[in-house]
Amino acid sequence: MNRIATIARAELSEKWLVFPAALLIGGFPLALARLRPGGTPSDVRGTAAILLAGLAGGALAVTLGFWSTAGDIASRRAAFYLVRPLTSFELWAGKLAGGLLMVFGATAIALVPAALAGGSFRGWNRPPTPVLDAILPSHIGPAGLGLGAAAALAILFLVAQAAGIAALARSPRLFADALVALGGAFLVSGAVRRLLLARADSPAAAGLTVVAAVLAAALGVGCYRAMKEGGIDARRADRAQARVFAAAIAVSAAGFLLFAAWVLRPSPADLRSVDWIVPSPRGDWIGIFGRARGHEPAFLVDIKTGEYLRLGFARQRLPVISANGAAAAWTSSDPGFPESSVTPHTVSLAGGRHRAVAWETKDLRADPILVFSSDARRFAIVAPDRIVVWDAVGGGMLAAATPPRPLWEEARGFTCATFAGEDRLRIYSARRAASDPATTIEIFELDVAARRLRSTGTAGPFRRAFPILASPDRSRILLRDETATVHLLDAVTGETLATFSGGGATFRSATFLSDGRIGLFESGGAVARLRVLSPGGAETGAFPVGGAERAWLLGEPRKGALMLATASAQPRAVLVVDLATGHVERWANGLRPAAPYAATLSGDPGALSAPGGLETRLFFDSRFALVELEGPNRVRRLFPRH
Amino acid sequence: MSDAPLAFDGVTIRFGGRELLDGVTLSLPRGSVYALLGRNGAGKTSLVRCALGLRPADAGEVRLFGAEAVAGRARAMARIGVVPEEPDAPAEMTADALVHFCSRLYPAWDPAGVSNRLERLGVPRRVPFGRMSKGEKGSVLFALALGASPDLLVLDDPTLGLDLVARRELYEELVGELADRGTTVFLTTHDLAGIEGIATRVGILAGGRLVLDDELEHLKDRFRRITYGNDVTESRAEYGTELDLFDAARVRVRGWGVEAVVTNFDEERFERFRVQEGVRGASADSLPLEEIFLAIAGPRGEGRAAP
Repeated sequence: MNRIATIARAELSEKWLVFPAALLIGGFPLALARLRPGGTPSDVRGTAAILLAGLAGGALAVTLGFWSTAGDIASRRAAFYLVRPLTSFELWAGKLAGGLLMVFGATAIALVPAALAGGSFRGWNRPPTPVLDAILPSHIGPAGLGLGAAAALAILFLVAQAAGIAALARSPRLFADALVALGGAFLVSGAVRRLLLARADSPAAAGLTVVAAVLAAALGVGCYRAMKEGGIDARRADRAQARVFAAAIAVSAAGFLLFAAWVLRPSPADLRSVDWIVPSPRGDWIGIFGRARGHEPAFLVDIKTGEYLRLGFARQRLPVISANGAAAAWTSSDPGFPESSVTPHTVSLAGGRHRAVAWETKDLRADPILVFSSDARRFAIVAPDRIVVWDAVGGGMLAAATPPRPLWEEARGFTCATFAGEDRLRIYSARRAASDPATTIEIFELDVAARRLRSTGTAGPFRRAFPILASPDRSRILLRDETATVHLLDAVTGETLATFSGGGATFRSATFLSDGRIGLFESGGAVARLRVLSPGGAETGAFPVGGAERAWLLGEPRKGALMLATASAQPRAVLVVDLATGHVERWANGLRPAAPYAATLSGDPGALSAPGGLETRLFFDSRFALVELEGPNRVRRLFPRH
Repeated sequence: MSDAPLAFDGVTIRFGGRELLDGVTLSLPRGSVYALLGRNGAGKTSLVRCALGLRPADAGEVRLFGAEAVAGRARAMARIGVVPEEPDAPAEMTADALVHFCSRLYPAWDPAGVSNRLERLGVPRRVPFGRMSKGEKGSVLFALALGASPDLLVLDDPTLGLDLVARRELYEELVGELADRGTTVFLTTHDLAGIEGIATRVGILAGGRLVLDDELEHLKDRFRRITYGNDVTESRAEYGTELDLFDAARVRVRGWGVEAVVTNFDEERFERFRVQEGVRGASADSLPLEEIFLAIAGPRGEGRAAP
């Protein structure tokens, strides 16, 4: 330590003139304040002093860094030190310490006159430019800013030191070294781009921080090795540092690439939280999206076998799974180009191999609605400006149509679509005026065989229509509005077949049963009951359900029973009502449905869960872990695993 | 070899693919004054740099006080004083600052000795090193080298550019140091006359090899200039087989006879030589070191033998 200090002191005594020079520079802000270029003299003094001190410090770091070590090696003056009882490390560290002390000292001294004259540095608690604003933490403070500036000056010094050795060595391999550096930068920037496109911002930042730390360390180690191996031979010194840099670049680039690949290839087991899921109406596949390895990947997972497909990063629209659970679809676009075209993909979930198919679409700007026919033989996209139906098995396009006007506009209602058989695609376009909450639903039908799109009817207006559900035979639809009224409509014409309202009920939830009957939960005052209605809307049974004020009908956990999830009772309860006896059984407490009712808002209203399907099995527990309710009070944790 | 303060074993040094030195092997006995001689570019300074651990040998090994020179450099330097070929101290530091700097590095620093030496050599104490004359710079570095009370003193052409007076002062100091402490000295120089009274052993580098490594006294015994009138051959411009008794490093045929520098002189051989038929008025003279050097490293005469 003493020897390092001795070298540093020698550096300082040799170049002490930088300090009076810095004091001289520090006097300029005082003169500038007298010219009153704008702002208070105090602010002018402070701002000018910080800018000048920064510039002086930077220039000194570059100059000293470039010449002190490199100059000594290249001119062989380093021999004066190396023939003393000093290790190469002591010499390098002493030179570095002396150089940095001069840089920091001169920078600080340049601020002294303004500080003594009452310059204001208050505005510099925050970084002054949008660029720095984006880079630096929001509450960095003067101490943090000072430390940051010191770190930047130190890095600048080391970079200049390395550049000095390379330049003064006049190495013929300089071009090759530059290529190595550029190659490393290219690889890392490519990996950073991939991470950013996957919205893995935090891992990208963490990885880059490690790379920067490795490279900063390599700058130090490289210069030290240059001193140790080069001594008084600039070429040898350059080779020594180039070897360190090349190794650091190779290690950091390879490490970053591996890290990026690791981040971008998570499995569902890596999920640390689950944001949403899409259950398959039949079978055990789910679409799932959550946080894993610092970003939000989406998967299709078979919760029984653990088999999974990675869909990349999350999209705003959820993947859809066909009613028979045999196929899934999702969309992708180049996230680096927000205006790029959207590509739909499908994959067969049956069998062992799951090869995704991309469907060719041109200039598809808005995320389309994806819909399968019940048997998954047809696949359609419904976009505001077009409707396309493909043969999902054979791959050919079967029909395409352009709606008379855009099917939806931003924040003005919603659209959903469902196949009625293989050859009829029915589209429900709900619209509302900008200032009027009343929503009208226009119904279109695309005759796939005839390749003809026609408007078949309208329904409404309703006060904010909520998700539409289609009956299993697609002949009727159910929708709920915000006045706690449930409407049963003709699926083709929109004609009202029945309305369920009044009677003191303030809340209603409805669903179709697999046999076409309708389940209707309603509550008001102290009364809550489940009503079962015939396909035509006539009541066939009514069962009181405790004191639940608000409950959602989830579906049939088995044939002849309906599951409700209470939202208002504490704790939340999952109840199963036997539709033959009216017996209400409490299956679980504290769980909330994982497949939200609202998920069908723009989905396939006909893709209702089969009895015993996942909509009645998947829940979030109180810690937001996805669990499977296997039976009364039998809960199996799925994701996150731990 | 491990007992020697400095030893080279098969040292090869290359520069840009060219072999500057090849297989140099030599060892400095403790207390010796080793003068390494050679023409400009012979590789003396490169060998000194290897000796000081400033650069590794491309092949072979250099040992300082028994330790590998590069690896053990920092430790060994506590026992070594160095005067480089080019004054290399920081230009802005004064002699006092340099003395202060060095005093903090060496465990056996002799402040009084340095101060007295600087005084004797008439070095200005407060003038920055960069503004000193070449002689003053050399004096400062010499004083610093001796200030460390070294066991080994390495002087790389220390008199380069010095005037006669400065050279004389430097040698006087060196002799004083040797008398006081018995320091081992390894020096390179072109001032052969200057070191003739000091050196105990001499090495000569020529053609990339150490062509001579011997005690100076022995060297002077075996190197002689022989002159004789030549009646051996019909032509005075030639000489015959009479010199075959010796290894002749250089032979010149003069108008009056033949002048030869031989490297294996001894009295008995000379007696046999001078009684040969046709050899007339033969005499053998001692040679100054400069002549010996010229005979080995200088341009060749019409000689037939090499040392």
